[in-house]
Amino acid sequence: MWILHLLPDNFLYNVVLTIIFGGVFLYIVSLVLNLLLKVYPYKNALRTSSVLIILIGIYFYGGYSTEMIWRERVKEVEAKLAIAEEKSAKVNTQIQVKIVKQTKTIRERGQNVTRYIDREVTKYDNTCPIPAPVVKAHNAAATNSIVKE
Amino acid sequence: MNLLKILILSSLITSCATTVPVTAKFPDAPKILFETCPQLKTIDTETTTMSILTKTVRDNYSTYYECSVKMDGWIEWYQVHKKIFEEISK
Repeated sequence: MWILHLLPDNFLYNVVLTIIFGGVFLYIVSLVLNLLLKVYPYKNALRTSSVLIILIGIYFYGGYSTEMIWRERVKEVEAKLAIAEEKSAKVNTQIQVKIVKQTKTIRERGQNVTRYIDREVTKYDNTCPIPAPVVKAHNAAATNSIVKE
Repeated sequence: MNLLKILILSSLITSCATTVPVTAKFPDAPKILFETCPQLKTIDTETTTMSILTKTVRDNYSTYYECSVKMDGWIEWYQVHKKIFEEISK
Protein backbone atom coordinates (compact mmCIF):
# COMPACT_ATOMS: atom_id res chain seq x y z
CA MET A 1 0.00 0.00 0.00
CA TRP A 2 3.00 2.34 0.38
CA ILE A 3 2.84 3.12 -3.32
CA LEU A 4 -0.51 4.83 -2.68
CA HIS A 5 1.36 7.59 -0.85
CA LEU A 6 3.18 8.49 -4.04
CA LEU A 7 0.06 8.85 -6.17
CA PRO A 8 -2.00 12.06 -6.27
CA ASP A 9 -5.48 12.05 -4.67
CA ASN A 10 -7.40 12.71 -7.89
CA PHE A 11 -5.63 9.99 -9.80
CA LEU A 12 -6.45 7.41 -7.12
CA TYR A 13 -10.06 8.54 -6.96
CA ASN A 14 -10.47 8.34 -10.74
CA VAL A 15 -8.92 4.87 -10.90
CA VAL A 16 -11.24 3.58 -8.17
CA LEU A 17 -14.34 5.10 -9.80
CA THR A 18 -13.34 3.74 -13.20
CA ILE A 19 -13.06 0.23 -11.77
CA ILE A 20 -16.44 0.43 -9.99
CA PHE A 21 -18.33 2.00 -12.90
CA GLY A 22 -16.55 -0.30 -15.34
CA GLY A 23 -17.91 -3.25 -13.35
CA VAL A 24 -21.42 -1.72 -13.22
CA PHE A 25 -21.31 -1.03 -16.95
CA LEU A 26 -20.26 -4.61 -17.68
CA TYR A 27 -23.06 -5.89 -15.44
CA ILE A 28 -25.64 -3.76 -17.31
CA VAL A 29 -24.21 -4.96 -20.62
CA SER A 30 -24.62 -8.54 -19.45
CA LEU A 31 -28.28 -7.83 -18.50
CA VAL A 32 -28.99 -6.15 -21.86
CA LEU A 33 -27.34 -8.96 -23.77
CA ASN A 34 -29.35 -11.44 -21.75
CA LEU A 35 -32.59 -9.66 -22.74
CA LEU A 36 -31.69 -9.25 -26.41
CA LEU A 37 -30.13 -12.62 -27.01
CA LYS A 38 -32.04 -15.50 -25.52
CA VAL A 39 -29.19 -17.91 -26.01
CA TYR A 40 -26.12 -16.07 -24.87
CA PRO A 41 -23.13 -18.36 -24.17
CA TYR A 42 -20.97 -15.97 -22.07
CA LYS A 43 -23.83 -14.71 -19.89
CA ASN A 44 -22.55 -16.14 -16.59
CA ALA A 45 -18.91 -15.42 -17.28
CA LEU A 46 -19.63 -11.76 -18.06
CA ARG A 47 -21.91 -11.32 -15.07
CA THR A 48 -19.43 -13.00 -12.66
CA SER A 49 -16.51 -10.99 -13.93
CA SER A 50 -18.50 -7.73 -13.70
CA VAL A 51 -19.42 -8.49 -10.08
CA LEU A 52 -15.77 -9.33 -9.37
CA ILE A 53 -14.68 -6.04 -10.89
CA ILE A 54 -17.22 -4.16 -8.75
CA LEU A 55 -15.92 -6.02 -5.66
CA ILE A 56 -12.36 -5.09 -6.48
CA GLY A 57 -13.48 -1.50 -7.05
CA ILE A 58 -15.21 -1.36 -3.67
CA TYR A 59 -12.15 -2.89 -2.01
CA PHE A 60 -9.98 -0.19 -3.55
CA TYR A 61 -12.52 2.44 -2.58
CA GLY A 62 -12.13 1.36 1.04
CA GLY A 63 -8.38 1.59 0.71
CA TYR A 64 -8.71 4.98 -0.94
CA SER A 65 -11.00 6.32 1.82
CA THR A 66 -8.65 5.12 4.55
CA GLU A 67 -5.71 6.59 2.69
CA MET A 68 -7.47 9.94 2.42
CA ILE A 69 -8.34 9.92 6.12
CA TRP A 70 -4.68 9.30 6.97
CA ARG A 71 -3.48 11.97 4.59
CA GLU A 72 -5.87 14.41 6.23
CA ARG A 73 -4.60 13.44 9.68
CA VAL A 74 -1.01 13.80 8.58
CA LYS A 75 -1.79 17.29 7.28
CA GLU A 76 -3.45 18.16 10.61
CA VAL A 77 -0.51 16.88 12.65
CA GLU A 78 2.01 18.61 10.38
CA ALA A 79 0.12 21.88 10.79
CA LYS A 80 0.04 21.42 14.56
CA LEU A 81 3.77 20.64 14.56
CA ALA A 82 4.53 23.78 12.59
CA ILE A 83 2.57 25.86 15.13
CA ALA A 84 4.31 24.04 18.00
CA GLU A 85 7.76 24.72 16.50
CA GLU A 86 6.85 28.37 16.11
CA LYS A 87 5.65 28.56 19.73
CA SER A 88 8.77 26.72 20.91
CA ALA A 89 11.08 29.19 19.16
CA LYS A 90 9.14 32.10 20.66
CA VAL A 91 9.30 30.60 24.16
CA ASN A 92 13.04 29.93 23.79
CA THR A 93 13.65 33.56 22.89
CA GLN A 94 11.56 34.72 25.87
CA ILE A 95 13.47 32.42 28.26
CA GLN A 96 16.83 33.50 26.83
CA VAL A 97 15.96 37.19 27.20
CA LYS A 98 14.65 36.60 30.73
CA ILE A 99 17.84 34.79 31.82
CA VAL A 100 20.11 37.44 30.32
CA LYS A 101 18.13 40.18 32.05
CA GLN A 102 18.11 38.39 35.43
CA THR A 103 21.82 37.58 35.19
CA LYS A 104 22.55 41.23 34.47
CA THR A 105 20.54 42.25 37.56
CA ILE A 106 22.37 39.68 39.72
CA ARG A 107 25.75 41.02 38.54
CA GLU A 108 24.74 44.62 39.09
CA ARG A 109 23.60 43.85 42.63
CA GLY A 110 26.83 41.94 43.19
CA GLN A 111 28.82 44.97 42.09
CA ASN A 112 26.84 47.07 44.50
CA VAL A 113 27.79 44.71 47.32
CA THR A 114 31.43 44.78 46.18
CA ARG A 115 31.44 48.58 46.33
CA TYR A 116 30.02 48.38 49.83
CA ILE A 117 32.72 45.88 50.83
CA ASP A 118 35.43 48.10 49.40
CA ARG A 119 34.03 51.06 51.27
CA GLU A 120 33.03 49.57 54.61
CA VAL A 121 34.46 46.10 55.17
CA THR A 122 38.02 46.98 54.20
CA LYS A 123 38.13 49.12 57.34
CA TYR A 124 38.26 45.94 59.37
CA ASP A 125 40.92 44.16 57.33
CA ASN A 126 43.69 45.02 59.78
CA THR A 127 41.71 44.91 62.99
CA CYS A 128 39.82 41.71 62.36
CA PRO A 129 42.04 38.88 61.15
CA ILE A 130 40.37 35.81 59.74
CA PRO A 131 41.33 32.64 61.58
CA ALA A 132 42.59 29.78 59.37
CA PRO A 133 39.77 27.38 60.42
CA VAL A 134 37.20 29.86 59.05
CA VAL A 135 38.91 29.85 55.66
CA LYS A 136 39.27 26.07 55.81
CA ALA A 137 35.57 25.63 56.55
CA HIS A 138 34.63 28.08 53.80
CA ASN A 139 36.84 26.38 51.21
CA ALA A 140 35.58 22.93 52.14
CA ALA A 141 31.99 24.13 51.81
CA ALA A 142 32.73 25.85 48.49
CA THR A 143 34.33 22.76 46.98
CA ASN A 144 31.87 20.39 48.65
CA SER A 145 34.70 18.47 50.26
CA ILE A 146 35.49 17.15 53.74
CA VAL A 147 37.41 19.44 56.09
CA LYS A 148 40.92 18.03 56.56
CA GLU A 149 42.00 18.52 60.16
CA MET B 1 -31.06 -7.85 -5.89
CA ASN B 2 -28.18 -10.32 -5.87
CA LEU B 3 -25.86 -7.58 -7.00
CA LEU B 4 -27.15 -5.30 -4.24
CA LYS B 5 -26.53 -7.97 -1.60
CA ILE B 6 -23.04 -8.55 -2.87
CA LEU B 7 -22.33 -4.84 -2.93
CA ILE B 8 -23.51 -4.40 0.66
CA LEU B 9 -21.47 -7.37 1.82
CA SER B 10 -18.43 -6.21 -0.09
CA SER B 11 -18.41 -2.95 1.84
CA LEU B 12 -17.35 -5.05 4.82
CA ILE B 13 -14.16 -6.14 3.15
CA THR B 14 -12.83 -2.71 2.24
CA SER B 15 -9.08 -2.59 2.53
CA CYS B 16 -6.95 -0.60 4.93
CA ALA B 17 -4.00 1.55 4.03
CA THR B 18 -0.78 1.70 5.98
CA THR B 19 -0.27 4.62 8.33
CA VAL B 20 1.93 7.52 7.32
CA PRO B 21 4.53 8.32 9.99
CA VAL B 22 4.99 11.97 10.94
CA THR B 23 8.36 12.71 12.47
CA ALA B 24 8.56 15.46 15.04
CA LYS B 25 11.94 17.02 15.83
CA PHE B 26 12.83 17.18 19.52
CA PRO B 27 12.54 20.85 20.52
CA ASP B 28 15.74 22.82 21.04
CA ALA B 29 16.37 24.62 24.32
CA PRO B 30 17.99 28.07 24.50
CA LYS B 31 21.80 27.85 24.28
CA ILE B 32 22.22 29.81 27.51
CA LEU B 33 20.64 26.92 29.44
CA PHE B 34 23.46 24.60 28.36
CA GLU B 35 26.13 26.66 30.10
CA THR B 36 27.35 24.68 33.07
CA CYS B 37 27.55 26.24 36.51
CA PRO B 38 31.10 27.27 37.49
CA GLN B 39 32.90 25.97 40.56
CA LEU B 40 32.55 28.11 43.67
CA LYS B 41 35.55 30.23 44.57
CA THR B 42 37.86 29.35 47.44
CA ILE B 43 40.08 31.62 49.53
CA ASP B 44 43.83 31.57 49.78
CA THR B 45 44.54 30.70 53.44
CA GLU B 46 47.71 32.77 53.65
CA THR B 47 46.43 36.15 52.47
CA THR B 48 42.96 36.28 53.85
CA THR B 49 41.41 39.46 55.08
CA MET B 50 37.84 40.26 56.03
CA SER B 51 37.18 42.00 52.70
CA ILE B 52 38.58 39.11 50.63
CA LEU B 53 36.46 36.66 52.57
CA THR B 54 33.31 38.74 52.09
CA LYS B 55 34.03 39.29 48.40
CA THR B 56 34.53 35.58 47.86
CA VAL B 57 31.28 34.84 49.65
CA ARG B 58 29.56 37.49 47.53
CA ASP B 59 30.98 35.95 44.33
CA ASN B 60 29.78 32.52 45.38
CA TYR B 61 26.30 33.79 46.19
CA SER B 62 26.16 35.48 42.79
CA THR B 63 27.24 32.24 41.16
CA TYR B 64 24.43 30.46 42.99
CA TYR B 65 21.84 33.01 41.84
CA GLU B 66 23.06 32.87 38.24
CA CYS B 67 22.81 29.08 38.31
CA SER B 68 19.43 29.29 39.96
CA VAL B 69 18.15 31.48 37.12
CA LYS B 70 19.29 28.87 34.58
CA MET B 71 17.65 26.11 36.60
CA ASP B 72 14.40 28.09 36.68
CA GLY B 73 14.80 28.55 32.94
CA TRP B 74 14.96 24.77 32.46
CA ILE B 75 11.85 24.28 34.59
CA GLU B 76 9.97 26.92 32.62
CA TRP B 77 11.20 25.48 29.32
CA TYR B 78 10.03 22.00 30.31
CA GLN B 79 6.61 23.15 31.54
CA VAL B 80 5.90 25.25 28.46
CA HIS B 81 7.06 22.55 26.05
CA LYS B 82 5.04 19.92 27.89
CA LYS B 83 1.98 22.10 27.38
CA ILE B 84 2.82 22.58 23.69
CA PHE B 85 3.28 18.82 23.25
CA GLU B 86 -0.03 18.11 24.96
CA GLU B 87 -1.78 20.55 22.62
CA ILE B 88 -0.44 18.60 19.62
CA SER B 89 -1.66 15.29 21.06
CA LYS B 90 -5.23 16.60 21.50
